[in-house]
Amino acid sequence: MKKLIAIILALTLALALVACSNNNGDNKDNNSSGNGNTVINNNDNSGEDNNGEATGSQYKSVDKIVLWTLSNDLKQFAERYTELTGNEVEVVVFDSADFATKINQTLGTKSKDVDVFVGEPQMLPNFFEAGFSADLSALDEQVKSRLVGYTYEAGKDEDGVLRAISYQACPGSVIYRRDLAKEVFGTDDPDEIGKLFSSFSAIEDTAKKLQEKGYTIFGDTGALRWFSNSSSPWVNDKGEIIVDQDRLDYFDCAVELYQKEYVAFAPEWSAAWYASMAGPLPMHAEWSGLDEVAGNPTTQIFSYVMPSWGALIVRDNAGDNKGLYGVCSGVCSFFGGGTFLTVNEYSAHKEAVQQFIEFCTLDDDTVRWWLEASNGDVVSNLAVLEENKDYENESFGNQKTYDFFMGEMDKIDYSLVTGYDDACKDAFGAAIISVQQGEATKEEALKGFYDLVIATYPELSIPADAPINQ
Amino acid sequence: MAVKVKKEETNAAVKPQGGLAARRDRKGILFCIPFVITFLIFNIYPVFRTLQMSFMSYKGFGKETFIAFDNYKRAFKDAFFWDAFLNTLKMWGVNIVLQLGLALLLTIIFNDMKYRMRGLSIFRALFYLPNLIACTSVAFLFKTLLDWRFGTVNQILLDAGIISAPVNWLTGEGLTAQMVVGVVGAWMWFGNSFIMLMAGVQGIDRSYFEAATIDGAGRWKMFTKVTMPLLRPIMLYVAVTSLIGGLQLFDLPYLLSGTKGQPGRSLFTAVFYLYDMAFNKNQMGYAAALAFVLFLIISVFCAIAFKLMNRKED
Repeated sequence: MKKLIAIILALTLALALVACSNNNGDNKDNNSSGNGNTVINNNDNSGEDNNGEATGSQYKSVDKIVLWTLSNDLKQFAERYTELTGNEVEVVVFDSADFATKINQTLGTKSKDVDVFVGEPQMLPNFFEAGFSADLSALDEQVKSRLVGYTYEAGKDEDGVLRAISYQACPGSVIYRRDLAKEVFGTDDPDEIGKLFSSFSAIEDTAKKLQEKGYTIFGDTGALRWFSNSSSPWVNDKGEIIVDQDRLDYFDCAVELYQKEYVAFAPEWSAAWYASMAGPLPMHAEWSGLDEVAGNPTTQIFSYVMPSWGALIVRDNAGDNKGLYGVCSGVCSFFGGGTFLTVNEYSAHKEAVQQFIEFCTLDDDTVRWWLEASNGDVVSNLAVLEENKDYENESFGNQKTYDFFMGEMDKIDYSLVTGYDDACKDAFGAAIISVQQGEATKEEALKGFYDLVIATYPELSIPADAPINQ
Repeated sequence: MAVKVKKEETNAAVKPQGGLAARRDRKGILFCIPFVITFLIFNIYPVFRTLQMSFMSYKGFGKETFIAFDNYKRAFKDAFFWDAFLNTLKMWGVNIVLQLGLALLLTIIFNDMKYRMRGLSIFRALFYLPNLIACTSVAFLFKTLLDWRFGTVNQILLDAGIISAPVNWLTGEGLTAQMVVGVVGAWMWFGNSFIMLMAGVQGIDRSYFEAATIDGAGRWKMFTKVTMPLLRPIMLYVAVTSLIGGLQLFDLPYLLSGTKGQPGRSLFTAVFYLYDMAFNKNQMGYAAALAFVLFLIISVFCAIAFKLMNRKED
């Protein structure tokens, strides 16, 4: 009998020790990532509530999910996921400049160190082609019917297999000053102001009218680049580089705005550009500190062209101008950026990771929570967008911004996007700059554009009806 | 017979005489293994892997397709690569002229009997200092100094009346920006050349100078007829090593141009172009071929330079 009691006690003690050591093991990893990047570990098992247990029971238990990302947003998702499921998520945030290289190097060795990683739309085709992203076809139907259309298209590989899902949608808009619009054009109605940006020639006229009142239409002509995919892809199915009339109009408009000083010469992301959202700024500030250009004549920037996250930047930097902005359509609908989640093909926890992605993108409660937590991010979940479409946004003069962005999303034509877009846009931008600065004529610059794109991608060709052949 | 015995004795002296010596030899090999392994992994393997990639259509990920010499044919026809190579030569040209000229001038001053300059070791350290500063810091420093509106250089030149309007050093004319890179490079590396030339001059037998003095040679004659001819091999060595480094120029123009190679494409160097192809355009196979084309070019330049050096020695 004594022996039996001793055995039972010993087993109880052993089990207790095992349980304790598991806890210690979990905590042990809390502060180490081993790669020198920002890491947050979310392993708060102490505060499990009833709600957490109930929701958590749907999720597969896993020791730890390792997430590589570009922004801090997903730390909040990870914290919430851990609270609800008890599963630990280690979030490693990388600088965007190194991210694609880091993924290529790490997953090129079929590493299992990462379970889930993010990508922006332009990175995704490379990740898919490299075989880094696992098949998410199991979620295809849900994503197709419940998320914004273009995000579904962007998450598919060239064979149409779903491999990445985004919790965001980033349609573009022109963010304009309502007070200046009323003063110069007599109205601040988004539909009416949208007409002033409906074509490149309309933009030139608008810029001229603004200059007459002492205002500038944009920070610099780089704002126009968002409209470069207006009607044709940069490269068609035959592998020909397309410079259609819209692109030529874009070229001419950018040169005119520059040469007639219709813009403030404050490039996106410069100190002056940020400051301009709250008030007047010195002309020709470029990348200088504001104190350095304090003596220059001042102006006020009328509008900014950016994806939906840009509207939040304007709102957050508006200062006393908060509430004086509105959003309207431009020459064409466009999108930019957005965080897509994809499962590492070599992860040991594919099922759990897929559940995590589902949690971030398709779980309506989570998306509702994120809308609040992010203070206005535009999400990809259609049901949540629909719920918020009548929300009147105080920061934008009580405009129904979700309703507006939903309309813009519908107009995005993802078939215009190609893998050559970045290289073509960069080369076209360089051609525009060379004419703006008087280094080349338009013909020379266009020839240089074609030469550069073909030098980079020899498989492409110049069509017979290209502007340089006419 | 006597000769044979002597040869055997010599061999016996060289050969290990017992087990202990043999074990020592083997231990020596063991000590070399870490270096050899590291060298094979980090030096030899990448070279062969790059060579292999240069015959492939490869993005740096995904499938590799064998395309034989297509990447090399493309490289020889790629006008943008050759433009970048020409840019490299221009920047290196300015750099080497200033670098060698300044180093030579300082060498003459510090070796002149008449001036008897003191504190050579301090000056040597000071001149070498720019070489020790990280290129990122140098680029940041010169970007600030050369800012066309608020930079110190323009302010000084304007105040002194040397220029009437600010010069756009880095974002105006392509040629100006190339000159700036050359000058900054010379500032960074002239200390190194100075140390080598000083060593070269100090290695010249003093009797040559004494003989020239007795023959009535002046300082200029002594410099042109004694110092320069004897210093030429060192100068050639400095020029060749500078050329090898110069053709691989990347960091300074990359940073000074804000990573874009601007103005125009004037600050795109051959290696900058290679880097852009590999990591921005995802054309790793083509970039590998460019690396080998560059290697071939540098080899040819080196061969010519060594030929010149050897001819002089003969």
